[in-house]
Amino acid sequence: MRGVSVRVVPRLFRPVARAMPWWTFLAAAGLGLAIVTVPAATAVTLTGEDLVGLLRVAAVCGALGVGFLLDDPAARSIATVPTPRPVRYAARAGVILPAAAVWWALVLAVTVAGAEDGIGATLPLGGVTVEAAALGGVALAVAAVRLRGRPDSGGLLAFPVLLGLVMAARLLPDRMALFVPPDDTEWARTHERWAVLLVVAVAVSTWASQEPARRWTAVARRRRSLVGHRRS
Amino acid sequence: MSTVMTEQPQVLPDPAPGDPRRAMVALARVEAVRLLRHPVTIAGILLFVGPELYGWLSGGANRYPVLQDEDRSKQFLALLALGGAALIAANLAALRAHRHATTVLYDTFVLPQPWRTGAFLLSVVPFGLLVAVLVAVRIGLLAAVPGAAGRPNPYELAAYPAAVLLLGAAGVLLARLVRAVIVAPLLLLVLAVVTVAGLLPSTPAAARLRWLLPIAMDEPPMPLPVDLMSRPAGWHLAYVVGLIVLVAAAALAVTGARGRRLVAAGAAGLSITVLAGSAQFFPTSDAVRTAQATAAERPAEMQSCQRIDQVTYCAFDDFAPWVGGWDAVVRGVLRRVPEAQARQPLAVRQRISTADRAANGLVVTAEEQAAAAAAWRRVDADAGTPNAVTVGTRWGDGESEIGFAGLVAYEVVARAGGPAGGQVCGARGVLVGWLAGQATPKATDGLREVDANSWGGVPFGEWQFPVALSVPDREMAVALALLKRPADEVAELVRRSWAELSAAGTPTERAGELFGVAVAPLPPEEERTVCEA
Repeated sequence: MRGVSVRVVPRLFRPVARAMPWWTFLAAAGLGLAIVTVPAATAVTLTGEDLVGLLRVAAVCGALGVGFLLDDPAARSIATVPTPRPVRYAARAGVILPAAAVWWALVLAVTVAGAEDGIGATLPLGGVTVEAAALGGVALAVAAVRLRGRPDSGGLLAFPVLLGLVMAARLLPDRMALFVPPDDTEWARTHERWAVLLVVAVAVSTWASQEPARRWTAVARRRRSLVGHRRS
Repeated sequence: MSTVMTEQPQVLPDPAPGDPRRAMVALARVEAVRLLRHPVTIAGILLFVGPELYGWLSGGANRYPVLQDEDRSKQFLALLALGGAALIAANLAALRAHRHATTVLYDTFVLPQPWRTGAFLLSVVPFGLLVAVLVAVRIGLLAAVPGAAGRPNPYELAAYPAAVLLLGAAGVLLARLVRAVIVAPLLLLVLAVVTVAGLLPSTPAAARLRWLLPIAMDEPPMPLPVDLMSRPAGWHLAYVVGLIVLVAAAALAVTGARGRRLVAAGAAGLSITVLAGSAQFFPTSDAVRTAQATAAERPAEMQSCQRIDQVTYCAFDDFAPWVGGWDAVVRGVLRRVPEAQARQPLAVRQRISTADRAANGLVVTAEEQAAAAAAWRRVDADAGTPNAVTVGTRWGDGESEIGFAGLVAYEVVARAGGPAGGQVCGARGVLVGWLAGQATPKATDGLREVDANSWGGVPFGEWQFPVALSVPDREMAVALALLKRPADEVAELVRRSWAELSAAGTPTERAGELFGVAVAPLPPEEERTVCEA
């Protein structure tokens, strides 16, 4: 059964892509792209730190949009279909990841091309990409967790959590900092933290993509305890 | 039936026989409680309050706050954390009916749509009041600190709740314009980016842009006495109030409210916004500009002096509570020098800088700096405090304490008036570095911090001032080695060899010999710094 389901994934790409709330993602991703494009297209001279700051805001925009991409208005009605939730989410991930990757590549390309005085070549693109991936991962993880409980909108929980996380990260004391300027000596160490965050986010997403069986066990347990009461 | 209701809501008889105002207030009350209890609001309050509490509990908070700076220092955080919470929570509340697909059902309620929108707008007010209380408590606690200087500007304080009300109203308006929850967080990000962009010197018309945003951030070179402040905070508050009225009127109009009163409110909001918005750009008044120039060039005319033993402290009246803090550093230096030196009169004068030399891209040559320092010395001599040591308008952090301690130590060692940024080499450099570094525990921390962030030498004194000095790394290494030893033991050696150590020509090697510290060999000729003092 599982083998059959996994083979279904590529066939699900098209219908899943059509069912996804794209315009939310496009609005957020479009804003992220605009945030890096405006200074790139104008004569504003920005330092490496400013550009990394803009890339971070763009990454937050993208993550906000990604958080909504697991939403499915038909979630309640398709809970009973034979294709299990992990396969449905795998199909969504198969659409989301390339789309987000293409968008992020575009954001990076615009930023590098628009940077003045050869700063583009000095930008730590790898580190910023890890940050962006971790933020996107957190958005997906929170959305998946929310959708386990209520099949309404994952992004509804993901976006406040993401904004709160980013704001809290900016306020952290130096020794725990997540956002550091590109020339900071702690850059490598903070990005280990980001990588850990990404791994945790992926693990939580994988766990949350399992069909929640909690309710049934809870009901069964309650029944058992009722029976127990009666017996005693 | 539902079709009839959705398509022709206007033809239905008005179901509210009485005054809809009461129903609106009742709904506003419920929504206000929901908004205050919303997780986003609670998270926003925690983000705003948390760092402040952490600072006080961990002992990292500045015990010498400048109230006219502190009143606006958290406005950006408040915009994002508190304003952002109001924006998102109000937006989610106003979109609740849409999210739960119950919009049609609301048409059967007694309260028409515009009145419901009014209730959502009103529901932000208690949160605004809560923010006002939070801000008042914060500034009250800061003002109660014994080292607090100056006084807060009520307009700057009122800008916090005003920004929250504006963003809350914007959340309701957005919900009525676009039925999607993603728009509010995106607006918040745009606000954050534009506010920061307003601070960048390369942004076109940055100085104007920043005053057209909900909060106006700027970074003056250093805190100024209250009477010299030129921020149009009152006009900016009026501008934001105008915007709140305008946004609220727009939200009501979008949901179908009509009528003369709404038009009048909208017109009033627009006029206040335009008038107050333009008034912000009035040039600074001549009186304030003259006062700024006087304070920067001849500060003695605006200062009061007080004497503690042989030391005279002259400060702007706002900063008088800091004299005790300055005196602790001066005593920290004087207790380690021979009695005869310590008993000589000493003067300390506070200075300000109103021109941001770095922001204006001005490069100051050594000659210009020397001329400026000489002019300061002349002004001090005329004011009856010759060779006064300069202190700025920041205090309480390690960096300011070590900067001041360095200048005090140099004056005690050289007795030659403020140095013009030159390198102090040889035994004198070692002595100045050690005397400054051991003055107070905070000065020691400050020295480590400045040493870690500087190359070639350790600078002392505010960089905006022409009066400053720097001790090269070679001399500093000896001073840092001495700081690891018991201070009394080093002080004994210092007192015994004072004349030799404080003489201008004594080489570093001799100081190393006297203290028993190895001195690094001189760097190659091309890497050596020019020693001036």
